[in-house]
Amino acid sequence: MDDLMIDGTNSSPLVKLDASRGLAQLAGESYPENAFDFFEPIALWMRRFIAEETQPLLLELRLSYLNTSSTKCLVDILDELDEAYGKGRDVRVVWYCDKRNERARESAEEFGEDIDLPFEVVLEESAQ
Amino acid sequence: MSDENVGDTPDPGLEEISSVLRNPAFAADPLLPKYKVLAERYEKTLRSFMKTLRISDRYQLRMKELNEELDAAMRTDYLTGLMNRRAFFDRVDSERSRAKRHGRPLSIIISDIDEFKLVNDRHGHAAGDAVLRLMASVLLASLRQEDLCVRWGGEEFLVLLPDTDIAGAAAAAEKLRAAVESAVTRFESKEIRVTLSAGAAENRGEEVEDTIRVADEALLQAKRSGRNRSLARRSPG
Repeated sequence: MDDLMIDGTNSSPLVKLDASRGLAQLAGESYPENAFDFFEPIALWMRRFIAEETQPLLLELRLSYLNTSSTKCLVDILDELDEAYGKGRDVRVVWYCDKRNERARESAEEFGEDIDLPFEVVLEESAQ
Repeated sequence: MSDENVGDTPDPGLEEISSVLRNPAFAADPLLPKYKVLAERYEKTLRSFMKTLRISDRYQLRMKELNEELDAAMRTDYLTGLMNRRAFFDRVDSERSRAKRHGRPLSIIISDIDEFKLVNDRHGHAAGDAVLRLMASVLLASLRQEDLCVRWGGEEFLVLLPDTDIAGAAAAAEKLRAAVESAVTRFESKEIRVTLSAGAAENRGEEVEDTIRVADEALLQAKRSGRNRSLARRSPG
């Protein structure tokens, strides 16, 4: 299946979805004009990956800020991945946060609540 | 379904659906399994909604904190930690109207480190910065809690003195001058001493810029008559 690459902008994160490596990366800030339009191809890619591929999936996040709509989209994506994990797929999430930004860490951890898949928050010297 | 609460918040819709599904009259309904699936989907949507709100609240809190930090940074002089001009102009109007309302005096001191350029020339800018930082703490220590000490320019400090007439301002200016004279900045292995000239003026209801001008004239006169001295001038208003 195809990879999906979207360049980052001021208001939307860089997206790198690499099917052959089973690596999905989102980095930046997310407050696009229409978050649902922005996240739809990402959610579709994840769904296809789960349906068509068999290798593990690692989702790496370096998101320092998400507006409410983006938060909703990501919560939904994580729910879908969690469902796949529940059915035996090897899926895990690592969220990298700026060490100096305590609130960002708290938000990241909040995303990991209510789901069972391995969800790790890693503090970095400087995310972004 | 596990319970009728999503997080700690009871949801009336979920309670209603659960009670309907538990009703024995529906037990034999062939659509019951379908209803249950829909009920679960509703619960899931509700959970994700609540989770989104929690996370969103957190981001908003962070934004608010950042705004407050930014606001504080905008009012603070980075080198000395003193308030800056913006903070002064934000506060001076309310001090003026308070003084007018209560019939209390209000004064201003402008002070300037004498021949500060020599410190930079002889010891370097890092030494100059150390002197400015020490002077800021010396001035603060010599003032009252309610006084506002501002880094006005390079080596220039302005003090706003609420509830203080010209005699009080003259005394405060002299106190600042004496405190600076006896302070020593230790920088690397050097001991650096500086002196301060100060001009004081009382605001008599005129525009604050006019009071500052009068204090500036007093400061200039202090400089001209040999530096390391303080002078007070009554404003024309």
